[in-house]
Amino acid sequence: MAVISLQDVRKVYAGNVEAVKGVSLTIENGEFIVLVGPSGCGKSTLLRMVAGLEEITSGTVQIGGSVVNKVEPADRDIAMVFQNYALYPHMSVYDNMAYGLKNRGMDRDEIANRVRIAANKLEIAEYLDRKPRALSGGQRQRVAMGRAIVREPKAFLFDEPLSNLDAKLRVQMRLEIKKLQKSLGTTSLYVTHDQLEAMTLADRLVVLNGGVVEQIGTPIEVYEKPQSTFVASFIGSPAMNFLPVTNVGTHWRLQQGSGLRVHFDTDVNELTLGVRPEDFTIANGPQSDEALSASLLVSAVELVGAESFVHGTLGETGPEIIVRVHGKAGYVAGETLALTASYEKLHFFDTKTGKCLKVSPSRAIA
Amino acid sequence: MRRVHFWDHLILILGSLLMLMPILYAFMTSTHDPVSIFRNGMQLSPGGHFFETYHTILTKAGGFTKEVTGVTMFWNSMILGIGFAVGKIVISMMAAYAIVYFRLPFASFFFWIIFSSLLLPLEVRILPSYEIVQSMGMMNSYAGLIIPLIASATGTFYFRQFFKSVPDELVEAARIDGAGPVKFFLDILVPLSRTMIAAIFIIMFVYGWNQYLWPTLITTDESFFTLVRGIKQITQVYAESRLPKVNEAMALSILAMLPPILVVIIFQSWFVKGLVESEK
Repeated sequence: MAVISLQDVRKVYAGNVEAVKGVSLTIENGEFIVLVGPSGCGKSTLLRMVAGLEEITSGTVQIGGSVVNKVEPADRDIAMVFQNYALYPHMSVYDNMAYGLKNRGMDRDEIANRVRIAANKLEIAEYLDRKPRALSGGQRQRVAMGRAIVREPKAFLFDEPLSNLDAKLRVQMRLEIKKLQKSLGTTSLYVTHDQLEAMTLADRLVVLNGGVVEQIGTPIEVYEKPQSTFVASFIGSPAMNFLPVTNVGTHWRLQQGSGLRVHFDTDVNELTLGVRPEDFTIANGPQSDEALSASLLVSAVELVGAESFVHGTLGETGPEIIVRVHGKAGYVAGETLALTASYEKLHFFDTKTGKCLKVSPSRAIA
Repeated sequence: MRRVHFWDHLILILGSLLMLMPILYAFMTSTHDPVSIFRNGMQLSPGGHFFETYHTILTKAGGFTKEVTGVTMFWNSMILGIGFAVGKIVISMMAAYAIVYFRLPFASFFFWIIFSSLLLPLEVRILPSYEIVQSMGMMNSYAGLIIPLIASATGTFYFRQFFKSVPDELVEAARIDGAGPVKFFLDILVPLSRTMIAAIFIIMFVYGWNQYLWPTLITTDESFFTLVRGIKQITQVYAESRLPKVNEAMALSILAMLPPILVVIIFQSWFVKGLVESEK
């Protein structure tokens, strides 16, 4: 167990490609941090720099209070779980788990003891004599976890460990990883591109984009108060709806026929309004005194079981939006619905920078 | 379907016969005595001198100096074949390891240099090679027979391709597990390559076993004679206008064929595995 702290860590590859552009982050003792972002955002590079598999161009990485920039991966006292498991194919499950300990010169009985405890914990004790190829994907993943656990490291590093599993197994393993991490209390850094995995696993999320940290916070914070349009669109599925709004002197206008009753001081003329699909309410009548009222021309309805996604355009010609409705929605294409959203559910972003704007708490009616 | 089956089998049977007949001929002839062969030509029926002939060629000292037996030649061939195979595997594996896993300057340039040497057969460089072996005083020694030919572009190429197909994560996992370059090579890469090693072993063993020109140049001492050279010694008596011991020459040929065939049969499944699938 240890605190991992990154100070202004940068990675520049040959050819002047900057993969990580100055990331600072402190992972507290026993905390589960998830790095999430689209492919190519630098999340894996960052993890690999912590692991020591990638050289750090500048900045420092500290594990347990000491700078480890030049320390070999084996000496950093970390364990890593890879996406394709990276088990040694010619070794039995037991040997796979024991290999790192043998290399440390650990006593044979102590190794056997540790492997047995880990195997029991992961329910793979009966497979210890098998080769990895005789195991299913889920079992291989457990062995990979076992190999990490037996080392009793200061930190676990996970590099998209569930991406190769099928959807059902992924959900199951996700829960198990979470439980395991809580019971061991080991500081963990987990990389994924799957926002659902990120939301469910993390104590805190780090959303990365283009090598830059967009936002750090608890999953709920990130979901409810996204600091940029990138975060808002990346976290949540279906993604947040973005609507352009213009300042027409006395008030903000969304578009003809819709009302927006919000007031705040800014010197820009154009903003982006963000509303999550589930934050719209389908009103009974056209009149509403909610902060946002608009009409939706339905183009399609997707029924996904417990909920439905209503696709359509704002007004007749406006931007496309998606509304999430509980249960089966009985709307048909061509129908016009009245939408409202309350003030607390509206997010405003600077159109140019994508940054979140602080809306003044006073709600004005234009 | 039955028709197709019939023709398929017919073609295969004819093909097999075509390949096997000469060997059968040689074997059957080797069991007759030289006089009847001289009179009746090559034989296809078993004769009664099997044990006699084989006992003779294995134990009778022949050659000019009368001190080299079939057993000696057999061991010489064995040493050459195994020495070739093992040496080439060790050298080419290490070369491929260096090329694939280490950030060497001009690594790919070196690889292509090695690779392009495939284009040059032994015969092209046989004089300079001879000169070097001679000047190093390695004539008439096993070292002189084996070491100059131990570098293998084919082996290096195969191992390079194989190492490149080993996932990077395996190296990284090993680094985290505290395995240095030597440990990774011995603990992970060598066991992973075993099917590849088997395949290359077969190719190189047969290649080494069948060498003729190189041993002829490097060894003049008859105690270093290999089986392949021994056969020639026996048929040489033509020149001395004595009755050629065709049966013994045939027996020696059979003996010379046996180990490569056995190696192929024993390692067959590994051989195919090594060339077509890679277990990762």
